[in-house]
Amino acid sequence: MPVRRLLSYGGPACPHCQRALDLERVASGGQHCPSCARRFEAVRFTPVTRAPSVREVGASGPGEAASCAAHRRNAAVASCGRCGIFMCGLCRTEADGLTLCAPCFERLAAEGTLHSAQTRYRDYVGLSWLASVSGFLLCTSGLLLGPLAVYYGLKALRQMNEWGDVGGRGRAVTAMFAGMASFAWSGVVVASLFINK
Amino acid sequence: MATPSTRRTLLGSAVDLGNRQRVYETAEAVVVDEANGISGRRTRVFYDEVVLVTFHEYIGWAVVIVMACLAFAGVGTTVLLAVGKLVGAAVAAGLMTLVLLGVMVARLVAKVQAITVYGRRSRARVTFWLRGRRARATFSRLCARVLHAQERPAAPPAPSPLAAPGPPEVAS
Repeated sequence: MPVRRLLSYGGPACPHCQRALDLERVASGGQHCPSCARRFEAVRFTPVTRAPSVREVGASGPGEAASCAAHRRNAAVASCGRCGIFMCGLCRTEADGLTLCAPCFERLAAEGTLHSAQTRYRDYVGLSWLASVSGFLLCTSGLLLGPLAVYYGLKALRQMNEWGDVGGRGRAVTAMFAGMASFAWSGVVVASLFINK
Repeated sequence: MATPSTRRTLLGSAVDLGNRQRVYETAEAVVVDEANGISGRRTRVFYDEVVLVTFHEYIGWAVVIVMACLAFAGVGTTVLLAVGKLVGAAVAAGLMTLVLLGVMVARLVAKVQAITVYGRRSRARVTFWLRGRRARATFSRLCARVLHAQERPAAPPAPSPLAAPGPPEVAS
């Protein structure tokens, strides 16, 4: 399998052998891959490309219509919920229940305020587990890494609440308990060192 | 703060190229979170961009082979401990070996179900093991969501243009 196919998306493919499928030959129902001959079920869809509707100012009918701030010939159909400028169908972007112009959308997306535009995030659950396991492996460091694991676990739960996750909180809770266990384990190790002295 | 439109329901997870992915279902897309323990990357496959949804079953021979190797090592360890008359350790090793063998047999008998959603620019895959009914229900529900999203009118009615702001009021 070429490396490029592993790293990038090349379109619909056989779920078994990952070789590209010719969608024209795929119908909904049971299928056999032409390359590997293995069976799978498929449901085919034909998405429709939707073009935004744009009206020119002159064609908007009787009465003067406001023009878009970026496209003077286009009639404005909405105003930005953040900066208030008028915008046409081309400029209008809807995200997280807000109607935004392009610059405001880019600014809010860069700030991380728009959850629906977020593509990068901090993996607090992974960090919590990393701290817990490190606390176990490095014996006495669990006294520091255990509370850190609990802190990251709480951050992970808060993050899940912000995203509106339904389910999946068990990982964060388990990581927090592992952090507390590594703290206790390190405490036992330190206490035994003092006792033996 | 999460709103009903941004709420995410965890569908399951999948392992791909060494990374663990968690797949969520939202009102408008299937969301894939791929994390490496420190940071994560999120991709979305919007329902109105889906071209194909597949359902297939597989065994996952890599897992079976790893389990077989571990079970083989477990058997050897158990025998060595028994020969060395370490009864307690031999029993523990034997129990762990039995667990590994049980998981291997279960994997051979009960295959993994996988649902793959192919969009125009990305794809999402979620796997289920020992949850065949849930896999089927999820497959049907995702197909229904995609159909509902793509059956909306292709050209929504154009919104009425905003009226131009009137002249500023002059204080009398």
